[in-house]
Amino acid sequence: MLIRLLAVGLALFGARRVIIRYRKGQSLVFEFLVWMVIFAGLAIVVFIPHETDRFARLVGVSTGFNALVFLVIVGLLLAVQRLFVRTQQLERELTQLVRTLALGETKSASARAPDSSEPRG
Amino acid sequence: MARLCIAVPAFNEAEVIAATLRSIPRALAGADEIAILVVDDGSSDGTSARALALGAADPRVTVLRHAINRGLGAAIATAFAWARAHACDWLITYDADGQHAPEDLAAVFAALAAGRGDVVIGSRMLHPRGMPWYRVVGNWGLNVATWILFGVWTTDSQSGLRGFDRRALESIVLRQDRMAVSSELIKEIRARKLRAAEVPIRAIYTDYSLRKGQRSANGINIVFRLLFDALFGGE
Repeated sequence: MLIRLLAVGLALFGARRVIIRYRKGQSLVFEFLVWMVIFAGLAIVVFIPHETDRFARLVGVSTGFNALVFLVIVGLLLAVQRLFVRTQQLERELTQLVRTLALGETKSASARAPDSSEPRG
Repeated sequence: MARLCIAVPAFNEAEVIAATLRSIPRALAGADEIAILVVDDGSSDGTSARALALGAADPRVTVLRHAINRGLGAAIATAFAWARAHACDWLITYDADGQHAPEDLAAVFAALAAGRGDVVIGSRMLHPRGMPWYRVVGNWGLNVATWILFGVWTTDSQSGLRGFDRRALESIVLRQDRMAVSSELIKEIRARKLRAAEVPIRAIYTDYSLRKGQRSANGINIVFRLLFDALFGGE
């Protein structure tokens, strides 16, 4: 029972983040759908253990340890997502900084040389 | 006054940048003014110095320099920002490695000026004569990946010769800093409800441009990057 609560809790937490990001326009439909399928799948499979047992036997593992490994993998997936998003954010901020500097340098050059490209209007 | 900006993103292109800039037509029917913008993306070989030297004799040329290398996508986004700030009516991106023919630039601009599309893509794949077979395969692979991910079909999603009108310039938002920007531009056509057109262009392959161009492994990187971003997104 505890494992079901934990899995559903994790799935709800993950799905909440996915929905928030989608509603803010920070993710594509494709990303939204894939993550929703993953988290919905996580929440569903814990309630149909016999089906998952069948799959576990098929791939050659069938002990209770599987559940722990499964949860660890989901936890790692969430951690990787957070890390990736944070790295992306830092990369974008760095690029914006580099861009602002480059555009600023041109502005300074324009101030020194009035015949160079000035914004119109 | 109709103003055209021709953006030349460049990374370590000192060997060819002057010849590329000199090849750009001095006048194009429909454009009252042509501005050439070189975005040196943190080169270490003196690319911007060569471009600045040419710019000293040609007032059309402006050189921007990224302090560090941020990638093709970042350089193109910088060109977009500059073109918006300088009220350009059109923006055309033009590779620095000399793989484009000046008459193809004129053809892309003619299609833009005639209003055939908000975005005009110079497609090397409509008549891929002289293109190495592995490039043809790689380009088609990336076209298919772009179509699967973003639902827009184009015959040359990786073309470096593309034109944008004012509507496209003001609406397109670029997030990809690296080579995946080419597919992202295609995605933006759909996301911003822009009209797209293609004109056939030829690619001039020299030892230099083949050495400098995308490697086949880059294609895998691009697909991986697009998939990863589609799954994990970014803020």
